[in-house]
Formats: sequence, structure tokens, C-alpha cells
Amino acid sequence: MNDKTILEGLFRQHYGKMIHLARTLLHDDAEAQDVVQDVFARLLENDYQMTGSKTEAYLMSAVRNRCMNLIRKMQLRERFKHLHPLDEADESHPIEDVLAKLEQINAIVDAHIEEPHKTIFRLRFDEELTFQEIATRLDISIGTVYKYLRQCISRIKSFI
Amino acid sequence: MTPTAMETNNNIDRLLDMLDHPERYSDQEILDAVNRDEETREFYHHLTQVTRARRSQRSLSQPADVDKAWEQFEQTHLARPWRERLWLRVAAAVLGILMMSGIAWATVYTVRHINAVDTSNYNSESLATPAINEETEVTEEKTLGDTTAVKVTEPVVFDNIPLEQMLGEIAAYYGMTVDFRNEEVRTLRFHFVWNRGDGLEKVLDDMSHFESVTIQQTGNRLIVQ
Repeated sequence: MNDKTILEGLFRQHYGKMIHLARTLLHDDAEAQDVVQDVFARLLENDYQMTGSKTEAYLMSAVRNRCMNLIRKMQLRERFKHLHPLDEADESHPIEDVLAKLEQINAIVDAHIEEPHKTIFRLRFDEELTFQEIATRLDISIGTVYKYLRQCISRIKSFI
Repeated sequence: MTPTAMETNNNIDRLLDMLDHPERYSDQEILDAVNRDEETREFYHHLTQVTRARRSQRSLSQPADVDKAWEQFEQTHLARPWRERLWLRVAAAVLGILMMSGIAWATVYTVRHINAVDTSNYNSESLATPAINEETEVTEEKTLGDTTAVKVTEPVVFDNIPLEQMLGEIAAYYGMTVDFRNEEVRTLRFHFVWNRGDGLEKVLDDMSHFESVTIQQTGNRLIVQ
């Protein structure tokens, strides 16, 4: 097996998890793809010793580091608009823990968010409408949209 | 409803209004709104978590096209014949060894640790100065240089990086595992210059200057206390 075969093997083995992490941390799919490509490009440039069990951890933290770099370089307004963290206090937790917590949130949403909150939650977080668009679509006041959203968050919070 | 709860709700509503029109506000106004009180700050934190959670959910529902990604990678990065690359790397390694014998690269700075970012007290200034500069960033700069030889010996600069992350990379390089016996030290941040040409013992010796952390090697484990 030559180096290229080894690299292709690594790429194919780890790409799925890596792109998932990048898509989770960034709001732009094309950017997420670039991140994973860049991580492997870096691997090619440097003589990293890819040894068994460490490989995945290395690749995953390389993805997270690059994503955090990109977020750090964004304008504050853009970070805020796409709801990225504005500080980095909790970015040092192990990646598995971070992803597990997100799964927990999704499970809570599935189990405990009922209508009408569910619709507002879905329009905001899954379809990424603005609050004004949600208000117009459902023909309710924007104050009501805010209220439902606040209630969604505090309900999720109560189960974490 | 207590006045405080009502005030908090008003703050949060204002924050949500800002999310629809961030361009109407200055950075300072946005930061002030997020940090107005503990509840609002916590609310924003949960919004970020929920946003990530849903992105994660969407990502799982659209399987990645690994064939297409690999094809793209091959075209972009493997255009040059592989054999030629290998020879270049061998040449680079030899040059690297020659340079190492002549120049002492191992300069290690140890700076007092800075505690993990205090969330209750961040401001626009701390955001304006990105604190972390990790390894991937450094190698990016390295590859921009045209002397392949320097790449081999050039030290990796950890600038204000959490110990967990720094030690993880170093340990992986030397085939070691890390065992944190004291959870609190994971997030302590340090400045450290790591010369990958150094043996593990030398690196651990340099790291022994870190305050409030002891790292001990036992077999293939690094015990951190």
C-alpha cells in the first residue's frame, strides 16, 4: 500500500464524522466542506504519524479548531446573526461530549415541545425564518412569537 | 410576574428583535444586549446550543457524498505525481536534519497561565483579540513558506491554548495517552513552543515550568495533576 492508498483510506473512513462536525459548528455547508478538505490537505503537507486509535481524535479536533478559527474571524454581527457563541468558554469540552449534548437537546425537543410551540420552533430553527416572517406566516403578533420562543427555550432548559 | 422577570423578558425580546436586524445595531449594542443580565446571557447560550443541535440533525439527514469529496480532494491536492511528492519529502527531511545540526531551534517560553475565559466578564475587547492560535493555523502559515526544509524543524507555537488541547496533540505525536487526574487543569491556558524534533523527555522537562500543573510519564501514559 502506498501513501496515497493510506490517505484515501483515512479520508473515506473519517469523512462522514468530520463533515458532520463541521456542518454542526458552521452555518455554511460549502464552508464546512472546505474545512474537511483543508484538514486532509494539511495532513498531506506534514508528516503526521497516523496511528490507530489516535487518528480519529486528531482529525476531529483539527476540524473543530478550523471551524472555531473561522467563527472567530467572523464579524460580531455575523456571529450573532447565525447564533454562534460569542465567547469560547465551553469550546474546550471533549468533542463527543459536545455532540452528545446536542443529541440530548434534540431528544428533548422531540419529546417535550408541543404545539403551538413546535411550529414556531420548527420555522425558526429548521426553516430558519426570521421572527417577522414567522409572525406573518402564522398571522400572530411578533410579541407572541417571542413569547413562544422564550417558553421553548425555558422548557428545553428545564430538562437539561 | 415580578418586575425582574418582566425586565428579563423585555431584554430577551429586544435580543430577538436584534436577531432579525443585526445590521441596525453596533457591536457594542449587541454585546450589551446579550450581557444585560445572567438570564439573558444564559438564554443566548441556549439559543446557540439549540441552533447547533438542529444543524446537527439536518446534517444527519443529508448523507455526505464521500466519493465526490474524495474526487475533489484528488483533483485539488494530488495533481502532482505522488512519487515526485515522496522524493520531495525525503529531500526535505534530509535538509531538515542538516539544518537541525547547525541551529538550535529549541527555544521555549513559559508564561504564567491565564485562566479560562471568564464568561461573566467578557467585553468587546476580549473578542477583538482572538486568544487562541492553534496548531492547524500555524501549519497553514508554514506551508505558505517556500522552503520545504524549514517545515520539518519549525517549532509549533501554542499561543494561549488550553492544556487539554495542547497536550492532546503532543501526546498523539509521541504515541502517548493523556490521563487527567485533576479536571480543573484541563482548561488552563498556556503559551508553549514545541519543537517536534525534541524527544518527549525534553518536552516534558520544558513543560515542568508550567505553574499549577505536573505532568508525569508512566509507561505510555502522561499523568496530569
